[in-house]
Amino acid sequence: MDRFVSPLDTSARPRIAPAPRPESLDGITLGLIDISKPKGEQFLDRLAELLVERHALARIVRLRKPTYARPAPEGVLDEASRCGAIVEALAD
Amino acid sequence: MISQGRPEAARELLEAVSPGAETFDVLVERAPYAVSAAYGVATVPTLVLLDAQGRERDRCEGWDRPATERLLAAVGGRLGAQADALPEHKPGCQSRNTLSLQIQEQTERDDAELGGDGVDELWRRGWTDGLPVVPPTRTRVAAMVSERDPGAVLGRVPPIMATLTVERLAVCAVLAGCEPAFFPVVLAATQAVLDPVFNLHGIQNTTHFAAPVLVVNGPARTELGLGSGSNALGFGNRANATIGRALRLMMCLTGGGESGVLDMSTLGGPHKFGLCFAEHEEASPWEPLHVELGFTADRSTVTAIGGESPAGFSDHTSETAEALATTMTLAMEQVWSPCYYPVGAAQTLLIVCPEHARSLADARWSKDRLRQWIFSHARRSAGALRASGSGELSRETLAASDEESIGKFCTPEEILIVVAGGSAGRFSAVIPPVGLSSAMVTRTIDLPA
Repeated sequence: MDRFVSPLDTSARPRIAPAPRPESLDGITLGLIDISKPKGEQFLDRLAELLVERHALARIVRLRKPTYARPAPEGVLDEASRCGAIVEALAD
Repeated sequence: MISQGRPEAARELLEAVSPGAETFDVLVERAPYAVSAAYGVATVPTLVLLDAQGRERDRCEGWDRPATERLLAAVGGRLGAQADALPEHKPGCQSRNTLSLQIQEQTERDDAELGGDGVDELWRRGWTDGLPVVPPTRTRVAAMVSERDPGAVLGRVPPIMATLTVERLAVCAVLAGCEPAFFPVVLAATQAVLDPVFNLHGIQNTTHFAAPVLVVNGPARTELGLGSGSNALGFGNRANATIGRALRLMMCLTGGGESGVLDMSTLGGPHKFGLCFAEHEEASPWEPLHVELGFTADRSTVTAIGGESPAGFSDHTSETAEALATTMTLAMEQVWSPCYYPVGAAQTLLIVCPEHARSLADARWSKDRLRQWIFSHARRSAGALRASGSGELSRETLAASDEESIGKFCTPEEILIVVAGGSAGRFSAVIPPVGLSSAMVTRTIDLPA
């Protein structure tokens, strides 16, 4: 038995494997999430232009967190989960 | 040799002072340490030279190598091969027979549980904020939990959404050095920061300086000895230092807000070790914060506000309330970024020192009048902000016409005023806010009846 009492919740750090990366963006629905930091929109606009030029995306879905200061609400997470790939922009 | 602690510690010392150590008899003494008391030992180690009749001939207290050699020579001995490890001169420690019986017994329980002090091991485990911690033994944690249910769940702590039980919080309070009497404040402060309105998630992860700042009001201040006078914002008071620290340890250990891993603050700050102070209600001409918030004066509360380290300012020469209020207004306009109007935070805390508060009250200024003054004077025209040359301007500033006036604060209620500090000196301070959609939360402190 450990001689000290632990402050840790050892069950709270589940190891989640990252989702498999797509081989190609062709035919993919790409989600672009703006986290509401200043100039995030400008950054994602330009990113969208470049990705459309270079890849045969099925479509781009633009998502936005109401505030960067809190985790994404369920609605945004639901929509994101339906995308084939996601880019989340921090900007600033 | 008479030892008050572990026999192995006595053996190590004997090996150092004499190669013939195995010929010594070692008495391991227990509370109340009657033999030590009979020899009048006040310091450990103490060497006493006795003659054949048992009369004292010489004595050496603490670490003193020449005196030790003198005593050993008198009995034909000498320092051993390990003696280089001994200090030349060092005061030694307080002998246990001089402590109260209660402390003697606690010390022996700790010995039994630890077999050593455990501090180095706790550092290795990472159960620290960088400073030494008090080992969270079962005895100490049980004393902190007291009559409470150790398994009761207080909530989930971001960012790793760990389950916080009363026992885990009690461990953090022990590590921080809290007395069990402080635990009701730690509990109330924890409940405050876990309220979603406080947005602990944002405060834990942000690159900003953000940390909880705790203000204690009501009778708990005096009952627990919280500091509200000189050095209220640090250092020198155990309650202030350890209550704030317990919250930080809960956030970084239980909550997983490890520095540079999930707590990504660019610079951090000294307030992140813990910032907890009491309002100096006795020195304030105004009603205290908790009464202003609707609590009765006889309740004790803790208010958590997201903030940075205090930004102090001097005003020793203003001769009118208006002039002093102007200094305060200018100090408050610096928060977040000097040209960023409005600041966009739920509250910004102004800590008024007793001398400043008295000057304002002597001129018949209420707290509300000060708040209104700051609100109406902390403003700039959009043109002036743009002309400053700073690029850190709000959308509101960029969209406004040159003449349009933009306030640092959107409502007077964003300006929170408390009184704290020593009786002398005309230094007050601002706690710059965190923004981050975080608002202050107040919880009552349930002191035992």
